[in-house]
Amino acid sequence: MKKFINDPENLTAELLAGMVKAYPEKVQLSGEKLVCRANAKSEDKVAIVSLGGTGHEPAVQGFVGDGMLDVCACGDIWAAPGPPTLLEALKKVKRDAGILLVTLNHAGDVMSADMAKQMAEAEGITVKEIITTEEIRPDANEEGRGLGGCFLIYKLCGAAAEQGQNLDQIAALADKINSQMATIAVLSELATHPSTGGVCGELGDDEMEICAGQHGEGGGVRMKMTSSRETVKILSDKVVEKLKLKSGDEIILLINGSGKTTLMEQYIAFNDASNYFEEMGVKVVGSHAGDILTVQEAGGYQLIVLKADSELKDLWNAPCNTPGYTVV
Amino acid sequence: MSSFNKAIFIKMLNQAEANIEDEHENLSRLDSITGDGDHGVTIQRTMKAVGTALADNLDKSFADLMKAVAMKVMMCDGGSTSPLIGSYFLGLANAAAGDEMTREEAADFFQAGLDNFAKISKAELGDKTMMDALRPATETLVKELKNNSDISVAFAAAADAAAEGAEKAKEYVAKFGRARTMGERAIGQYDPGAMSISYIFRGFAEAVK
Repeated sequence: MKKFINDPENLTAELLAGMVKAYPEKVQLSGEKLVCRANAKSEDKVAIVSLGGTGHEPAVQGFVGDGMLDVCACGDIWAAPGPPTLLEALKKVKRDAGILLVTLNHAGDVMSADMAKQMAEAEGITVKEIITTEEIRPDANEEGRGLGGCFLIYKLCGAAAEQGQNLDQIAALADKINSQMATIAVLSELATHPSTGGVCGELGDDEMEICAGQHGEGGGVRMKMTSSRETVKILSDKVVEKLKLKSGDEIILLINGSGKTTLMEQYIAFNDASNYFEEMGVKVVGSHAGDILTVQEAGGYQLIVLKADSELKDLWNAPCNTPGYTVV
Repeated sequence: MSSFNKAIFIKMLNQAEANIEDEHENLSRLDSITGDGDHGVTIQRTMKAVGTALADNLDKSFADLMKAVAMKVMMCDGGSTSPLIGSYFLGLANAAAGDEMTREEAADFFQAGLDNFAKISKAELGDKTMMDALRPATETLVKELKNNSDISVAFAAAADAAAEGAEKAKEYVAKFGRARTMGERAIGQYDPGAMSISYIFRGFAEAVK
């Protein structure tokens, strides 16, 4: 492993310290593991909280800031925070307006959120939870994991909270987004765990894996590497099938690089995806290409599509100001 | 050895911590095959937290000591391991009848740990998780203690049951965790979580041999 680090056991503390120093006007640290907005949102508005492992930068904590998350409870490298850390995050933004907790569907995150939510409710904190499950699996009956689509929940529910929508409305919005979006991942190269230096999984030099896990945990469909256009077609066909997209529909389209895949490749993929959807008469009304949720030096990307309407478009265009994403 | 008490369980947990220290690199290597390659790091951190919490709270009652261990473990921020092992110790805390326990009470104590673990885990036997070692180990232990077996005999049998469970888990498809999406490719691979539980119970047995 060749990485510029100091102490493999202190990665999270150092990266969080660095992030808040790099963006002091946007975020600050509370304790060791809570990343909070530098400018707290007024208490009459619903707070948006999420949790996650680190090592996925800019996600998850990089989306704390005006117009997106209020607090992120950080765990350790690729590992969810324990229930007490998340409980602290919920206490931090306790308010009558309530809290939307955004949990990505991974075992550790779901268990921690479950316990923390029970503890919070016992302390009189109002929390509604959305568990994101937007990943497309090879077997449609299998429940999807929560991948980079969490970004859309943060962005759109964050905007709705800024507008003053109430907790019921925002929770319903989160459900709607989760059911109208799809993420499909392709993996071309494996990640290294930055604490252990171990390579996760195995994949042939000339292979790629569709529906791969974020951490090289496999489970997808392997095939020979092919062109960007062909890969995008394989991914987009699955998205169209899941979201039942047809001519006249509008979408928000994102390409989320996994870490090693360059912005050059991401733009080429975005071009191919954009052409694919336009050719079938589906209009791209919101877009972004770049690293959203990475896994160290994993190669590949996630194609993220949300079926849009005028409400979702307006929320997408609303301003936000976070280390990982800004709309002016 | 006929009775079970706070001092004995501390010794057992210390031995379990030492065993995990010896095995953690191997556990991470196993996890890189089916998961994300860090189970060894997480369980090592968790067991170190157990050791620290024990050393810092020696004077507390057995129940409060278990509660302190549970909180320290959950503060490790180690993915699913934190709520799982944390719940186990919370279950133990709720059932710690006193600093000295009869074998009947000790049986209830370990049963309560498993029951609370199961509430959070939701995994069944055969799902290729920690449960595949913890359930048979606990069931064997409870049976032995209720039969009035000597502590050393009961824990040796529990450790064997845990090891056997972890070995069987090799043949399962994973239903939880990062290995869940691997399908049949997980068959033939060890589950690092079940292996950890097996090393922990081996430590328990070694401490009271």
